[in-house]
Amino acid sequence: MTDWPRLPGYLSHRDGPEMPTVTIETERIREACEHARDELGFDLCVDVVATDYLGWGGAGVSGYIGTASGRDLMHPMTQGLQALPELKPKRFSISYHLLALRQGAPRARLQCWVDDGEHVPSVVSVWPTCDWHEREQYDLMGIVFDGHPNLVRLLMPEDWEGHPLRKDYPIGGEPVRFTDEE
Amino acid sequence: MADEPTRLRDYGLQSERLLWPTKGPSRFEEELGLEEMERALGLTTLEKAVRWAQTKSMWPDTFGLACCAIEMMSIVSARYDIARFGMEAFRSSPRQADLLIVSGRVAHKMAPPLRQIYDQMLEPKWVIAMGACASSGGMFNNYTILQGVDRIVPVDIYVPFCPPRPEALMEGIIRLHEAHLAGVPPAYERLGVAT
Repeated sequence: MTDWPRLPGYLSHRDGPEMPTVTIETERIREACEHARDELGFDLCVDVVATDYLGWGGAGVSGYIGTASGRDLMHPMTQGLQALPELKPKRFSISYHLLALRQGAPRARLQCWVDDGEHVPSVVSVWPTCDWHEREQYDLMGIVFDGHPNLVRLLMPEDWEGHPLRKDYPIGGEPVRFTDEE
Repeated sequence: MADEPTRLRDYGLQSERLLWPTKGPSRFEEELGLEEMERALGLTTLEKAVRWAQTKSMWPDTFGLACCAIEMMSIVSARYDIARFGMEAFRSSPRQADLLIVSGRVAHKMAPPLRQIYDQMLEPKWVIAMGACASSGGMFNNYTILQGVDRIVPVDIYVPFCPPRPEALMEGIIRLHEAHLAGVPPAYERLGVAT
């Protein structure tokens, strides 16, 4: 799987511990997925996930930071301290996790970046299973997929307003009073 | 409305029944004082007989929603056998069920179907809110979970814990049986709400 630059719209790729991550231009993600399915043999789309990076790089990150290869004891200042992470290109990353059903079961992640309000080409024509995956991301994150046959809410009630899994959406609930301690 | 009995304690029922094989009559029966006399004399009234029959075959409806459903399934298993009480026949159709055991968290999207199922049940019907999520929303105090199923249906018995042990659910069921035997009307009648 070293010929990633042949994918349409290829921007960059990065090898990870589980699967390589290939960054694709948002407008050409459908062609890249068709190429991955037809030429490279990734005939199963496991999941379509959107990640919200609102506020990333703002106040710093605590916890496991480390180096690209993992926590390195030879570099003590990189472990668990507040450090500014590298900024992300846009607010949302859409990741398409692919699996090839052959010996070795290679996996890959195609990734494209969008901002709030930008539309993404739908890959339902490539893998029909992405129908509900994209509906879930529309429902919870507000990502609009162009060319989707039935882009309505999936998990929340049909008349819900807002997209609950965004970083700026409140957790909700009601105030609870514990009367036995007062 | 305030002086009308709505809660079980308003009827003076405070029994702590345990599943002892050698347990004598419950506090309900002691308070009423009628069971011993009737048992000794062999007298029963028609209403007591009907209530006894309803208690001994109160068929639940299959309303397992989440994790509490696992514990509800395990009371049908051989260890905590609810067939002893004639309740192993879980009916899938609410038209044929007497008891609605709401086991699991109820999302706002699930609330209208829950109310519809409750409406389709025939009187007399009882509701057990099993677990913390059905009683009060449980640990989920957020935008999705209905904070307590008693906001939409009248509840007779609340069984706490997360999830309640099968014995705890069976104790709730048995307390419901005792309350019905003692003459306590179902919750929709006590609270005066629509069925």
